Amino acid sequence: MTTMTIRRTQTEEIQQAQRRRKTRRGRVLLYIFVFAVAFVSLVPFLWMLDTAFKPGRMSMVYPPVFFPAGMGLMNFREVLTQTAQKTNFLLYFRNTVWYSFWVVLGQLLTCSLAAYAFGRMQFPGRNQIFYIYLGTMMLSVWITIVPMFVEMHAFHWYNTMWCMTVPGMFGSAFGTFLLRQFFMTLPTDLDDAALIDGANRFQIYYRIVLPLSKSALSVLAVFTLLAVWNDFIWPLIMIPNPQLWTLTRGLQQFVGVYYTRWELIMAAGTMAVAPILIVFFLAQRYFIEGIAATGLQGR
Amino acid sequence: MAIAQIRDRQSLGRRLRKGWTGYLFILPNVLGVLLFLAYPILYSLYISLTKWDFVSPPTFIGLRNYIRLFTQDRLFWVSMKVTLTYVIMYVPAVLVASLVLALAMNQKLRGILFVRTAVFVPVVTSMVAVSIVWVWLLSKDFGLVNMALRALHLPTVGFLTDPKTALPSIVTVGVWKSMGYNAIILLAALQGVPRLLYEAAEIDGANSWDKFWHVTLPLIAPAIIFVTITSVVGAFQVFDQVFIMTGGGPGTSTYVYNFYFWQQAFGQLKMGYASAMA
Repeated sequence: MTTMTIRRTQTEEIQQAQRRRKTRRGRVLLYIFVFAVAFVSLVPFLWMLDTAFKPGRMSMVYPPVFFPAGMGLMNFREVLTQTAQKTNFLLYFRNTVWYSFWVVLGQLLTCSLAAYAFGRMQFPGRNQIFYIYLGTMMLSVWITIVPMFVEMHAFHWYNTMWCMTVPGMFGSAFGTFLLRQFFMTLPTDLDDAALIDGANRFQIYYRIVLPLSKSALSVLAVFTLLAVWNDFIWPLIMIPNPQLWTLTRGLQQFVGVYYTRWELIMAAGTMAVAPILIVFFLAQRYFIEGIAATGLQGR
Repeated sequence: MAIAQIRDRQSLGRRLRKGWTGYLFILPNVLGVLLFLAYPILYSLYISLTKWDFVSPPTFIGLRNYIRLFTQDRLFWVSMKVTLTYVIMYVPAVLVASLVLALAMNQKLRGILFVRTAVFVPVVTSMVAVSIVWVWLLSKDFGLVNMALRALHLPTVGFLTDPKTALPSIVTVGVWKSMGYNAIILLAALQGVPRLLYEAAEIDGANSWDKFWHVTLPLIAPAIIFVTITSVVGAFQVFDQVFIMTGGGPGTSTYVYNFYFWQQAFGQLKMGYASAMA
């Protein structure tokens, strides 16, 4: 009896060891896969950085040299000074920041107001209006771009900073949706208590709900910033004046002018991409939480 | 339910009077929609019935734009085909890639935070910058990809100059860029699946494939649908990378609909025709 038990335990041990080896092999493959994906995601940017720091001729050699002797900031200097007459990246940076600031501010205000109304106030047609509003999320920019072109001319906003800021400040279906979902998770007792104490709706919104929603508002701010910062189509069509260009528009123009100087292009690209990446690294949590949240709402 | 009962007991007039602040709160958004969405769309319909170059007054020509679009315009059908091809290539690819990535990221691995950050970098950078870098990467003579092929003694490919590979290259850039975004959404959904269900399935004798097919998939179906819908909608709006990387070519292999539209509206200033296209 004891010999049989010993043999059984031995076979079990062998089986367990085999299973562990299989899972270990599986895990190794998993690690390789996941890090390969991370690598592929980053390689273009690493190569961009590499090319930006190398003198031009070193980028054209084969086999590629990753850290040649002549590395330095010369490309960046050239982009910022010599090419500045035609493409002024510092100016584009300022413009982009300026536009982003106003649009994000406007969005936060209008979306939170509307989200509060849709989420916690009662008025006839509230739900119907909300769902119609939500439906507008599906429309693409192309449907309205031609009449908007005309409208911007009519308002005399074409080719001014107004067309880059005002239309974006009027709230978005996405932002309102995001904030409404968040507001609905806050207990309504707070509202009721304040109402009993004689507060009007705006005070409730301003003093109670807003301070509690800092995280959701940050998510919306980050999303909006991303959308404005990386927008290309709107500046392409609406502001032919180079003084008003954004980083994306400026970068595209730069490529058109200096299309053989890849080292300069990569330097310019690095400068265009760096600000948003810095923001991303600092606000990572907000980005990723926000995206996960939108997915979980389902449709 | 109680609210509905109260609502029914009050007249519409009373409810309007009590709830008017709500309308005030949503006013900016609604105004924005009316000014910048609803009115433009209607106006666009009107323009589509005209022939207009923006400088001179429009001339009303009825449905001629639409007729010309569907019958005489070869480029219309070509660009439709290209766009549909793009969507058909892009959506399954991004779905599979994100799902696989999400599944992998759902396992407890060390360094997962690094991976998560890494796959997100393409998402937050602008498509313009990304496209430019990829043009450089895919360059036939100086691109890193072709250098790697050469190192492996494989023939070099003119990714953006060969009509056969141009569109797949555009698709790849699109998938590469949005993979992280969709993977996070799917990952969040995966993490919402209770472990108990997996254990229960295992007790019933399920293997890994069964667990995936019968437990995971049904429970993350809403997230998958969300990703599919947003990817389809996004795919139809493809423009930036085509504009930067190929300009519609070589030939018409990447001539997507929006690019054609842009050429008509702002390249040739055929506003009426473009509005019909929209």
